[in-house]
Amino acid sequence: MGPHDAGALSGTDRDTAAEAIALNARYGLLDAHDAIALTAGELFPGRTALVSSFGADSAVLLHLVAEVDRSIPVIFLDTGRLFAETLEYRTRLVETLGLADVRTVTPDPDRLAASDPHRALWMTNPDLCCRIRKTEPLKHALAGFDAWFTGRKRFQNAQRAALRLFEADGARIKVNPLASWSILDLKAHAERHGLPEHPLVAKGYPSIGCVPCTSRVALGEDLRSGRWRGLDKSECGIHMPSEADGSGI
Amino acid sequence: MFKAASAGALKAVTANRLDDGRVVFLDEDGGWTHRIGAALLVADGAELDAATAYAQSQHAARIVVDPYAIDITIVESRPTPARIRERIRAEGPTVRYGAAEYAALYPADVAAAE
Amino acid sequence: MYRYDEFDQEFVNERVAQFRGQVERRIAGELTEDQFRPLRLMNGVYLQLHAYMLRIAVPYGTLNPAQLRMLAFVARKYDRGYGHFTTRQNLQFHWPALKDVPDILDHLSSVEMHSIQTSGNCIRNVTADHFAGAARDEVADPRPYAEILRQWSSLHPEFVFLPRKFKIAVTGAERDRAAVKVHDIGLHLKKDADGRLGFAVYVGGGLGRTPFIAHKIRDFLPEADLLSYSEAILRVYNQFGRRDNKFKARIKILVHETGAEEIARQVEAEWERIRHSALALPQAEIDRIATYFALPASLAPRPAKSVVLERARVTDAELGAWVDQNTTPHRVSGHVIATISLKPIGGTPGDVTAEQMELIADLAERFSHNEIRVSHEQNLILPHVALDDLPALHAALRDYRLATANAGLVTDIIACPGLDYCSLANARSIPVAQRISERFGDAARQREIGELKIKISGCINACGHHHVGHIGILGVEKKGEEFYQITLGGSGDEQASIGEILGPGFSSDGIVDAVETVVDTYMKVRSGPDETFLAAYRRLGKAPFKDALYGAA
Repeated sequence: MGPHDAGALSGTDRDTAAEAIALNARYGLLDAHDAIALTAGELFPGRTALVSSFGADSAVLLHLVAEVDRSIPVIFLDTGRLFAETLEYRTRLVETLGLADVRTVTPDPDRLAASDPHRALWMTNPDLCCRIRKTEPLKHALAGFDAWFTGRKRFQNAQRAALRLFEADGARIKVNPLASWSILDLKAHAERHGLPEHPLVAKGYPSIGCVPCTSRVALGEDLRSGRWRGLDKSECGIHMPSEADGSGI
Repeated sequence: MFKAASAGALKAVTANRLDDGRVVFLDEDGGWTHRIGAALLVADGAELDAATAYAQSQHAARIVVDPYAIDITIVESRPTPARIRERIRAEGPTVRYGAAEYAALYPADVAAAE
Repeated sequence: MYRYDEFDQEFVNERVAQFRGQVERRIAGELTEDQFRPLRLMNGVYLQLHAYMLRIAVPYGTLNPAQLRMLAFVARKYDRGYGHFTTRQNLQFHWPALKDVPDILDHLSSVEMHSIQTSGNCIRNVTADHFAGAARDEVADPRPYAEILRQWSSLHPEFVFLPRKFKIAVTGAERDRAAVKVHDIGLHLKKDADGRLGFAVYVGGGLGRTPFIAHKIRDFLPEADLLSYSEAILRVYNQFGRRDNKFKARIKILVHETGAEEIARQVEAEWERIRHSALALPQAEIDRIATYFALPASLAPRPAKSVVLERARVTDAELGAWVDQNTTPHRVSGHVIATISLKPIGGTPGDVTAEQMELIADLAERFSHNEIRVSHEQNLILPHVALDDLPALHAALRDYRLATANAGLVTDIIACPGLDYCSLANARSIPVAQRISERFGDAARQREIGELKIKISGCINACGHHHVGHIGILGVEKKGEEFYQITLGGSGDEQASIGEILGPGFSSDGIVDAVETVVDTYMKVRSGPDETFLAAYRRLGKAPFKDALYGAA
């Protein structure tokens, strides 16, 4: 257990809480570009990172950050269970935006071997699976940073409705430059700047995370509309008569 | 790529796809694959329980029909069902049929036709 | 041949439309498998090891060329280019997609075919002698009666939910080619002392887990009483048949547990109440149906000897062997009934490719007055072939590898699909059939051995009819391995018998040698080349075979 557990606010945590309040009071109404420039240029120079999943909504924030400074470190969590499309999209965006310092972070292999040898942990204990594949690697990756950008937005869900530009996150400051953006704002920005879309969005994935836990349709879904992953319908495998190995013809 | 198993018997979960009845195996992403080489292999116990429960939800969701667990052994690095019945399900009939049987019985005919 | 009347066609169309809706709802997710299963079984759709299986009814084994061509079309478009003929004269497709089945059924309906009542606890396809109407030894054609029973049994409201499936067979000659004595109801056409037509009625035969030879409960039933008497039998069964245990629910168990005499008494009692009802068959109705089965008008007598054939035989030994083995004299002079063997050496018994089906359809048009039959021994029959046409027919068949001259011989093996296809099976049957066929592949050796019916089942459900094989082979699973038990002396003809187990079974490696040992023993102990295997076995009993297989006691 680390120093930032709930129920035991350290001196550092109380400091960041107060700091976040102060920052919001002073800068809370900055637009996205200015918020990024302020954070990375003045408040926490050299100690700011962007964490991106390179998912459905990632392009806008990556673009805004790149416009301010392409060398701001971008931390990409490769959980080991991402869509191939996500990995390709990452490559494409990095190239298009000229991102200079992308750091791919992966889970601890020993932790995985011990806790998820069969890649079935997402079924037996999804929380632990997220912890090992996302939460812990992220924590390690952010070790040297005092502030990090997220793409969170107020409209996304009820808990985020009260989202402010600056937030305390344990010993760090979390910055949400897109907090006040709407879906239309995002669309308009992406169009104006010709930002490529994640290929799975067009196939009906509203959010894109790890393969097994991502479903195709949003809340209120009908399970039936998803779950054909791994199944190439034209792939009839070794049941086809043309199979040459002698069995199964 | 198959990783060395933990101790204990390995299992896979298999079913028939609803729309065409074809044999499928639960894969590691919660989807279904025709290829047993891509099947999710789990240990007996909690992993298998979770996998079968998940597969049952897929049956309830009308994606596959009647999933069940099968025993797997590793033969030359390939997951192989322990029972012959399941091997035949995984690999198809052990005998040729249709045009392939005809060609095997009468290769000269096929050659002459070409 | 019988044509659907308007009532039949409309019914089939409605049923297909109904099933189409059910399939759509199933695929859309509105029906669970538990809800859907009984519905699909009522339409002959099984879910097997690898895929769905569709079983199509071929009423009393009769097909016309348009139907056979449609089966070929379906095989090619929706399946894997072949079909499998079964031991109940039906056809199975082993790879249809569920979503395609309604379209398949629509296509079939256009040629008056369907898959209704090929599964489930109902009255199944009524089978008949595959030489019906053509055989010289026939007392009367059984098919009109099979058709009358078909109409009566199709969706009979009282009998849609029987305790279990129900199989009826009708045979028309003294020599029983329809195995009526191992059916739930067997009907054997005969004439009484006054020359009137009627049936000996047998009840309670069956194979499967608990094989029984049927009991005769009535020696002579007049034609007119066919339906009322059958109805009486079904009513007794429906009322008293066991529903508590699936494995004890066939009528054979009821007859065995109650006793044939008591069953006969109950049937007669019930029959007395209903024999003069609407079920009584007017002669006019029998005659009307019979006209559909009359011999083709174009089938005219020809000279008993064919110069064309005799000449061709001189130079073509294969033709001669095929004519000798695969043809049977026809009631009309100068004609034969020709058997197209679907048992090529080393092949899958009963399988036929789409191309072969189309060829046979063409040949039926050219040489058999548009008729094809399916035998319960998994071969096809061209029932009305002129002797003069045999050379051309044989040549055409030979080009498509359909001229194996092994009808009734040791390589004319009957085998269920077995563990290669069937989810009920314990062991594979097809590879065993193929290896036995290869072992005995030499044509001269086969002819020397003579008539020998080997029947192989992959599980105790006995779809391969192994109980009535001269040599029967039952596949079982023993300690995870395939294992094969041999029975000897079974027969499905008018002297029906259930095969006897001799001793422990054989491994997959040993079974073919064991069968060869049995055959070699027969060759040693037979009284002469004219004593068939079955006759020798009945004369000598198991002892010489048991000794040969397991060593003298």
